Amino acid sequence: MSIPTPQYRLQAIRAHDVYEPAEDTFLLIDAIEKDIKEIRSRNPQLVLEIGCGSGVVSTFVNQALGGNVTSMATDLNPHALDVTLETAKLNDIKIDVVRTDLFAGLENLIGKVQTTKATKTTFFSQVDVLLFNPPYVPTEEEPSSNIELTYAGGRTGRSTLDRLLPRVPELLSPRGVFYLVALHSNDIPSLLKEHSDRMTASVSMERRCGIEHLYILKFVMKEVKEMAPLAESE
Amino acid sequence: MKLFVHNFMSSRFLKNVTVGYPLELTVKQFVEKDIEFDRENTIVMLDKIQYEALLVAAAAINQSDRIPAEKPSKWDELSDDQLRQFHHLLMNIDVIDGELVCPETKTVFPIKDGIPNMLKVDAEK
Repeated sequence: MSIPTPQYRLQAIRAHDVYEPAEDTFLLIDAIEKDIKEIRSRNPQLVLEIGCGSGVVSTFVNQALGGNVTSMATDLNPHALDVTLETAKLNDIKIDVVRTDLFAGLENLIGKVQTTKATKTTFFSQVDVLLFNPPYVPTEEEPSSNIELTYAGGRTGRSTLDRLLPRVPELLSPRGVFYLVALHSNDIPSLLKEHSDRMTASVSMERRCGIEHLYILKFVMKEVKEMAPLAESE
Repeated sequence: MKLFVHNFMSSRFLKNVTVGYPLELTVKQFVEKDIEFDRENTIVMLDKIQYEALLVAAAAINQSDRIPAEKPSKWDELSDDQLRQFHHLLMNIDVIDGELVCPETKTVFPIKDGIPNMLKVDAEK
């Protein structure tokens, strides 16, 4: 059964330099739809999209997972957050948005062990489904405007991605899954090898769209026999 | 910004901040939504949150009396009515206008039109 693509208002998106849903957006949606049974079986509670743009992907995932998930989304661009809230409303779902860079300010999504005199409580990392469609286009210069920020990825196309990627295993819950949009020129083999000790990576989908050769990469946390050591606090 | 979001926030990303948690919260305006209560979902959410931060959030809207001052030992022993109080605080309260403040550096992060702005560059202006 096919899950409908969310409705969105193109006018609002275009008027505010928000990244318009395009082939990469729809490929990410297709990848999630393909895996939806498996994702549901992970019993996800919390979904986080970093760089939500129009909010179409977050809205789709929220709808596809039914009413039981809590969706959060971040973006640098305040207009993107406004549009995301509008897209959510248009589709009668809820997304909580935070204006920030990646997930700065949301560090408490990261697991930790909290010890008091009497008790030792382990908080697992919280994000069950992590979504990231970064600015991946290789560009000569670093981005300066809102619209450039939505696609410009620096020399390798990976300048934003390389800031997030090292932190992904910290964010994901033990049953977590991470979907990433990448370009062939972002060096797919090296991306797949990232964190191979903690996550299993695979190519979920790939599609040639004009000059772009797009990939959706999927990273799944490996089962841990014992809880990996986490940062202690307090 | 719903109050459960406050529970996940910290200012640890700022320079010279060691804990940065919980963020102080000032609420100038909030709305109360009516999101359907679900016992299981509420317990799942309560397992994720840190009680000290929830107390801060409840106090910020003068609704501390909804929940006990001490963390209950087992969530599933609470009655539906007790859990509804937690559900109300976490999911129904939507902060429209207010401020989040770093407990160490007192850096202010504004909440406007329901959206918290955690950008360091804006906070330091």
